[in-house]
Amino acid sequence: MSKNTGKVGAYNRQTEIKQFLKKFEKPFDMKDDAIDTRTMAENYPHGIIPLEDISQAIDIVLGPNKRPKVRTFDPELQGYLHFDWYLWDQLYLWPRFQRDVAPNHIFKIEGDWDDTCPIVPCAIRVTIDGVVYVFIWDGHHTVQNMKRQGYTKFPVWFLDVDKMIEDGVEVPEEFDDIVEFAVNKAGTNMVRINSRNKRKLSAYDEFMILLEVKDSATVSMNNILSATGYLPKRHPVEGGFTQIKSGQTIFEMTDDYGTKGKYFKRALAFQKRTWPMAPAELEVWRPMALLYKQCEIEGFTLDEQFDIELGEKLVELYGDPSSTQEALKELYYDALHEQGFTEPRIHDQWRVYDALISVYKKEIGRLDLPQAQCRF
Amino acid sequence: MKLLYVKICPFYKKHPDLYEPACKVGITGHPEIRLGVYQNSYSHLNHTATFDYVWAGDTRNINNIEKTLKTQLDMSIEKDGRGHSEWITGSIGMVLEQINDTIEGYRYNVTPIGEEISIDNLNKLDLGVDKI
Repeated sequence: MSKNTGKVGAYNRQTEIKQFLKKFEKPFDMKDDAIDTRTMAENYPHGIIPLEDISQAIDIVLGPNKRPKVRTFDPELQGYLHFDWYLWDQLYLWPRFQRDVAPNHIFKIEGDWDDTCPIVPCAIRVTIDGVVYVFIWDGHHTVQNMKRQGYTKFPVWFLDVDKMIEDGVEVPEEFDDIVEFAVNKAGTNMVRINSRNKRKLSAYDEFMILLEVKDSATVSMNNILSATGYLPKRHPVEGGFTQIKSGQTIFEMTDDYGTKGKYFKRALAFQKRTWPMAPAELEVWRPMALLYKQCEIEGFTLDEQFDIELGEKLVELYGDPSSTQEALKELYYDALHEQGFTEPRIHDQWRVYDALISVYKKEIGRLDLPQAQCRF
Repeated sequence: MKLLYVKICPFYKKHPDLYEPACKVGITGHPEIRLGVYQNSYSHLNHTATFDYVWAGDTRNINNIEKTLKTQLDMSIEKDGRGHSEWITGSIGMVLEQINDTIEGYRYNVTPIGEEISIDNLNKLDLGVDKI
């Protein structure tokens, strides 16, 4: 509130977010694509956040225009959705609202099976010609895995169509009967859950969770990030490292002794030394890692001075790391258009790699480097 | 060549005792047009649109520093929406310190102009033609 106007105006998201964040000692990002719950958690004992607080944060980010109509709904009282345990011979598949079954997917799940992992399959239950059927509409692969793992009972979350019939639920006009209505619900929900609204786990979230469960490769990669002054982050903020998947690929590159992470670490250290505050820039550290490895393979020794002189030259010529990689790619494309290449590069990491070698040879040239595929 | 500028809220600039400290951080390749837009809301008798702090650099460095600063200063922006989202609330010194630290830490190739720029001394800028 301004000390001059003294009034609160119409809804403004940024203002609302700032107001909400006043409750917290440690502010955190509240964006459409992610509310940073890991930073938010630092405001709570043990880092445990009540869902209500997250719900409030969601309402603020989405704003009043996206708020659903206020209502209270007790699904337990409504009485159509239930949980129960079923025997194997009570369960069915009605392919009208299911995908084909993939044995190779079942085998894949099996390789990663743990009895604490299965989510509860979803179904509709309906009596047809005197037989009670429970038709799985989500989690069929999981339930098949349970069977292969020797389960004698199967958890199911189901819509009780028989109860809907008993209660005389009104069937919308376009359906012949309530069973067709329920089939439509199951099919729509199947697509809704498995396709339309499926949200893949982001590489960042996966990395942070694997770090929490002490996955060895993740811990090792994170140690390198810490040692070189970076933190895994979702967005490119100061000192942040956002390129998790590419980082994992480069981390996995081994030297002659099978050691992982060596080129990854030196490339990040190069960037940190040259641009101390900037977030890790993918097309700076990745081509540098490739260069360190290629030099080792071809028997070129790159001393510490190499990192210093190349870094300083890049700063002098191009400035910050984003501008640097953009400029290096531009050098490559200029040369491509002016002189053409027999085998043009098909990926930015190699375009920048070639440009780095060209710039070093032209501007510094103290050490020998591998031949660039595209020279200019 | 392009400019990064800090423009202090004219009300605060004239009467810091009465008004909240606030400034805009923006970039432009056409300062005469941008200053004209700012001037549009005020009579020159009371206020001459001015960039209070200015840095010059190539288009790439200026565009990238703007992106970085917007992220860093996000928490100091009170309102979003047209006309609001560039206003940064808080001490001008804090904003300048953030900009200078960022130039140093990210090593942007930008140069401080060292004086206020208004329509009256625009000729001091040699913006030239950039490749991008």
